[in-house]
Amino acid sequence: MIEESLLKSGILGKDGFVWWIGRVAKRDTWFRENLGNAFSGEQGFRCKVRIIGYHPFDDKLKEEDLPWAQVMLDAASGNAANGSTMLLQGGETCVGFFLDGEDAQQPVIIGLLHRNANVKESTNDELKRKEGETEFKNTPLYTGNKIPSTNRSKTEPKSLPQIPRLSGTSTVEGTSNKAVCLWSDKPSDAAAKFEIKNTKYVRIPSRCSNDLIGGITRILQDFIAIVNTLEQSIGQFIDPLLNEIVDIANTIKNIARQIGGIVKQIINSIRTGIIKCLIGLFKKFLGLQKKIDPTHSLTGPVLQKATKTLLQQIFCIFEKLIDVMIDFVIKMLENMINGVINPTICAAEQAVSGILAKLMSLIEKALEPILSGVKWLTGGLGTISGILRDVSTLATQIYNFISCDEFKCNKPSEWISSTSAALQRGADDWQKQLDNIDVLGGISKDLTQISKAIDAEVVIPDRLQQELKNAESNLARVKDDEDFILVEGADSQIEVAEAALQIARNNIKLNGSENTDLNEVSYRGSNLSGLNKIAKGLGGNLSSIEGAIASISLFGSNNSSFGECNEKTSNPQTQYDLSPVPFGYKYSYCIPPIAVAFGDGNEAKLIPIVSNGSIFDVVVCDGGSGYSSPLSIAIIDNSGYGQGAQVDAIVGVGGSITGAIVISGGSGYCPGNYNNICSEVDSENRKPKDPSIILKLTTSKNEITEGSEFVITLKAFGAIDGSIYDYTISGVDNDNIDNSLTGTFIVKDETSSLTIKTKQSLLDDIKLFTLKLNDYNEDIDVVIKKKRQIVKNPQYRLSSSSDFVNAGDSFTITLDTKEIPDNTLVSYTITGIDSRILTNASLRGNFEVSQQKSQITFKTNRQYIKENIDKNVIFVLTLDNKKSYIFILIKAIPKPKLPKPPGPVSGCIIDLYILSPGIGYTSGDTITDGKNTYIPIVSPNGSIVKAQKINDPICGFTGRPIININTNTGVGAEVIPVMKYTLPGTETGTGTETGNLQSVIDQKQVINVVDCV
Amino acid sequence: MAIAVSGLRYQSVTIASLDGTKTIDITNSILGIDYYEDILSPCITMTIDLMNAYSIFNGLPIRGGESVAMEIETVFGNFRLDGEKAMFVTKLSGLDAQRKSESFTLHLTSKEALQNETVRCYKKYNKATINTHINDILKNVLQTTKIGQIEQTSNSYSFIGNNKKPFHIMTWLGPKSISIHSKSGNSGKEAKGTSGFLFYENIDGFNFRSIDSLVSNTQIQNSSSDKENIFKYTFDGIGAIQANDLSNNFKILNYNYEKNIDLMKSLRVGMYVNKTYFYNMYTQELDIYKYRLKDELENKKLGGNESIAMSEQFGDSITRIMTRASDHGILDSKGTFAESGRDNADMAKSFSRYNLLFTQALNMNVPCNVKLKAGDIIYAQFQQMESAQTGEVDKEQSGNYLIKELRHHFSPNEMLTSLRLVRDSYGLYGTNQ
Repeated sequence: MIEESLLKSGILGKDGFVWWIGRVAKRDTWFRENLGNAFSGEQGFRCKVRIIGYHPFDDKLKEEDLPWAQVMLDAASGNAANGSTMLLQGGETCVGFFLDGEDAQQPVIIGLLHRNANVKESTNDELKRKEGETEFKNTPLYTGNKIPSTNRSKTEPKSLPQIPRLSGTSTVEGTSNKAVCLWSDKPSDAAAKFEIKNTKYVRIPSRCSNDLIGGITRILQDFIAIVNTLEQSIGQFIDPLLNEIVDIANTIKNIARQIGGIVKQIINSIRTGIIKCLIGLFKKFLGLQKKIDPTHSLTGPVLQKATKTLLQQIFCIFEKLIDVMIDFVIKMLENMINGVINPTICAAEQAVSGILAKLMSLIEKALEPILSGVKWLTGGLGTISGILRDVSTLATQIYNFISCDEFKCNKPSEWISSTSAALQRGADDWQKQLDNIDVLGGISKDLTQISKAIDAEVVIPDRLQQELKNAESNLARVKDDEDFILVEGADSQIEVAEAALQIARNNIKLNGSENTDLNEVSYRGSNLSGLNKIAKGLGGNLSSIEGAIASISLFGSNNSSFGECNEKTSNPQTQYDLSPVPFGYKYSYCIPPIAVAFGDGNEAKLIPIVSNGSIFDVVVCDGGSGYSSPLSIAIIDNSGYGQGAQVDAIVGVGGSITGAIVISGGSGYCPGNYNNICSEVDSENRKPKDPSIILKLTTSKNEITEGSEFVITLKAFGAIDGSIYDYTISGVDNDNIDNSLTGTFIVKDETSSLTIKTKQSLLDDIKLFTLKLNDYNEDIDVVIKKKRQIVKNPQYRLSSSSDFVNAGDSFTITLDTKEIPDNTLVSYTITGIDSRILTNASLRGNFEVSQQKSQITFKTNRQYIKENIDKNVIFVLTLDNKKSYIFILIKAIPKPKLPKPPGPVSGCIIDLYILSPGIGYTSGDTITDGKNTYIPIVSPNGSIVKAQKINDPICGFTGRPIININTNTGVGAEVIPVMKYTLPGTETGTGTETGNLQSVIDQKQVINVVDCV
Repeated sequence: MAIAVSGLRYQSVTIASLDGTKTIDITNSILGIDYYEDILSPCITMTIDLMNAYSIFNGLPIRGGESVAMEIETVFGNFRLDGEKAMFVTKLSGLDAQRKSESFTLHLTSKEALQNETVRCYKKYNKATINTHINDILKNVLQTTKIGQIEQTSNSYSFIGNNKKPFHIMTWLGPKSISIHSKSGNSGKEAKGTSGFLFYENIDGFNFRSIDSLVSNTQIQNSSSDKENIFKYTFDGIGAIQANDLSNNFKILNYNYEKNIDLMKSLRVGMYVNKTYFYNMYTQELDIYKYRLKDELENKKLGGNESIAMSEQFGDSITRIMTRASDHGILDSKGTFAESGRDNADMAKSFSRYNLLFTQALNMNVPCNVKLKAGDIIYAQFQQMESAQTGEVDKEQSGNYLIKELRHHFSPNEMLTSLRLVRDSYGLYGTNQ
């Protein structure tokens, strides 16, 4: 035997030529690896193969364990990937030989055996039963005309969070756990690298400059998304996927330059506007002077020259701004690292607002001395602050600057190769930016006041006070000298005086802020020491505009001014809340995808239906109007789980989308909740659940005494006026409140309020009033206490250190007594809570009276509450003698809101879409989908142009079926099913074969399909 | 006659029917038993000649697959094959029942040899050292506990079973294995020179041992303490052996050379000089390696202190051109491959090594010693033949030998152990003997 082995050369042609026949393994066991290797220049053009006689045809040898086979190219195909594309799908019957002869470890596929309609599945039922053979179907029919993407996961992603999520409130100093993680079940690194490097973002420029804010926003989002994927270690940033060390400083510079380029456009626009404005005012002024000034012939040229000089200086000042801005942006980006994980659009827009606020601040500081100097001259310009802070003026100015005719403008958009569709971006919303700038201004003022308060005891040195005084008097002098102002160069003197004054003021501010300890102070949910640190990092201090900018969401602040955005950022619930994670990574939990039609139409409402991780159907809730064909529908999954879906829209009469053809279902998508899908569209005011709308309930009082009233307010951010939201009240009954237990909120200005009036009717000591929005996971609780009876000469009285406590906090209950001897034990019982909520006491105990007083401190168990308690609970301590009781509200720790569990998916085939008509088919051929049979309508040359059903349609498809054409003559036709999602409850048996197609199919849509084709 | 030759007592030899309900003691029917081991054979075999006055053939009956257990008392201890080591009937030949008696020959083998025919290696054996695969196959495919010496390999290998039988796979893995004791080498000019491993069964169980380590023991120095553990046999000439002399149990009864010089074959297999075209199927590179035995000897890569005399005329010419493809085994799940650990040119060298190993094949008979087993080393001492005088030790011929094949023959007054011995050609002699 060994002699035999030694004498073998292990190469074909020497030890014989060992032929074999086999079957290409399932595609998902080799395709991604092969493609990834090929993309990265490694060995490609291969597949796995199961060879008859060598490999058992059952589960004993798994598909993934099969050997790789090289696929032989014919000479005409060339080499080095120049000629051919391997189109193996898995399941083909192939013939080949072993490169290593009888060693039989290195197979090569020479070719395939043709598959015709008579070829059955490779294993039959009997064999399967006897031998445990696994079912394996032959090559599926061609499923699309596009090469499937490589980023496909086989497994259904879980909708639940898999790793700890970042709360969005991390301090700026901390390095937090990433809420994005590398794929663990995805293609090879090579494939990922390839796709990263080859995914192209092509910004489709607008004809107007209405995508400036969008541009900066996008750059910031990209920057944070990329930085979040990096691993930071000992000062270095490492890209784990590309296995590269990232020069973060250089990256930041490049990003800052990109932003600077856009900011430059904004600066130029503002400069042009201001100069236009000034020229207009000077013209008016000079015209007036000409009329009233008899010496105009003498002063006119001087004034004109002064005007020219002034404008030159303004021009020069603006030119210098860009460098300052780039430095500022660099500092901003540096401080964003380790901020938040999910750079939502709103959060990124806040950052843009910060940049613009800084810009406005700089312009204000730079121009105010000059423009204040000419205030009296022109009489109408006012301060630069007035111009820049006047929101409507600035917005108007900017719109005027860009001189945009809205009808001529295309909307900004972006094409992403991995999505295979162009995504429309919103046009710049300057109004929102200016609102944000105002918010930042407000914050800045608040912070300044706080800072001053903190600084109150700081002694300002006499030297600085004297400098300030001198600067003020100097400025007053040059401004008041009317003769001086008319001479050449006066403006510069004023500017110098202004600058000196500003420096003096700044010195005083700096002197204060540097001596302040802000560690224990909080401002509207923010950590002031954190804000102060970021502000310093940005080149300012707490009381400057940098302090306000430090409070934006992207720095991880939890400032309540940006509450709704913080909520989106830390707890995204929809695709709109989530910034796309970079390729190769995924968010900590999966969010159902959305479908977006990009085109010249509008208002289409599309819902993608997911089954087994693949897009099953796209439901058209509202077809919109104005779309033109061909039209692609982008399936967007920013959470990074699903990839690869390709969907085309069927556009009907009037440019309305009537259906969707799923060319490729993709993989990895997670399902949404499809109950009552589209049902809300029918009501005029009951809009369908718009994931972009954030609903928030608040109450004027968390606890009241019976007989009083409180106000529940619904904030519906993003909802239009008139939107209706139904609610239901629980925990109380009609005897307890004057209001009905059900009702509606009607939104106006994104708000709706409801006043609840309670009655004096409680039998129990307390009741927990709960108002919940129907169909939404939003509710609010209010504690209603029974009004206490006035008791004469109370002998026992309980009081607490706090009416409510957070999880983990302690509180003290004090028993005050009268005429009770010392050392008397007064027993009590605690109700309303689980004993494990308290760490240091049981539910029964005693107060030991001493000098008519006794105190017990209770500590709550944060860990237990976090893990086990969903809602606030009420701690009720009652003295066993029933003489007194007290209750404390123990707050639960809010848990992340998870996507609702998926509902069942089932559907019908409403038509067959003829992707390729083929040739040679005859009238005797049939088409089947496994449940239904169709007759192909063929052209004279045998091409299939349409498929007609011959029996009552049968539904119950839980996945997209493979369509088979039964023919002995035809070739080349490719047919794919057009699916229709069946609403739960409307089908006559989901998953059965008794569905009624008429109940779910709009026949017009079917006709439209044909028309479209 | 030595005690070992004449001392025989069958403790028991039984054969059990297929259904296990009937067991017959065949001790009194035995004419003789031959037991075989071979380091080139994956299993042990045995034949039993029987003659009896009643029909065991139909009485048991014997149809193949019956188990035979035995315990034979010899001078060197009991020879015991029962329990897990029981033998199984594979064939019955020479059945003769014409003379009021029944005589036939039972052919037996170990249980695993039969098991080998019923199971297959089908799965993918992921990358691991080859000895790991051997253990895996023995335990999980053959399901045997008779595991002898499984020597560790220095290289890893991944392969797919291809529905081959376990013995085939384990033998096939032999040449692909490299001993951890093999000499260092490198791709290109200096080969590792391994001849691989041998898979065989002996009385201890199944063994997977490198030829290098087996052969290297034939060069153990006389003063080595290792030598104390091996049997020493001497040949004093053919003739009667004095009985009751225990030392006679270690006499070589007779011997003959089976193999010596075959220049034609040496040239054909490229023993002296050969050339190998090595083709890497993944990098598509072609490497050419020229092998000269003389260079190897000069580099003392093979050990030993004697040189091989070879023809000057033919010893420098390439006498064989070979082609070899890369052997990476099966690729991993990602489609990437790893080197097998074998030298590109090891094939060229392993031919010579293997051929040289069997250059000196020696057959000899010794008094039956059931302690001997295939793969063992024995020391054989021959006397020099000078002018019809004996007495001096033949330093050329004497030395350590490897037992390639072994046969224990059990029959009354003819208890013999026949040995086929080989040794490394370069350790022509146990060096300092």
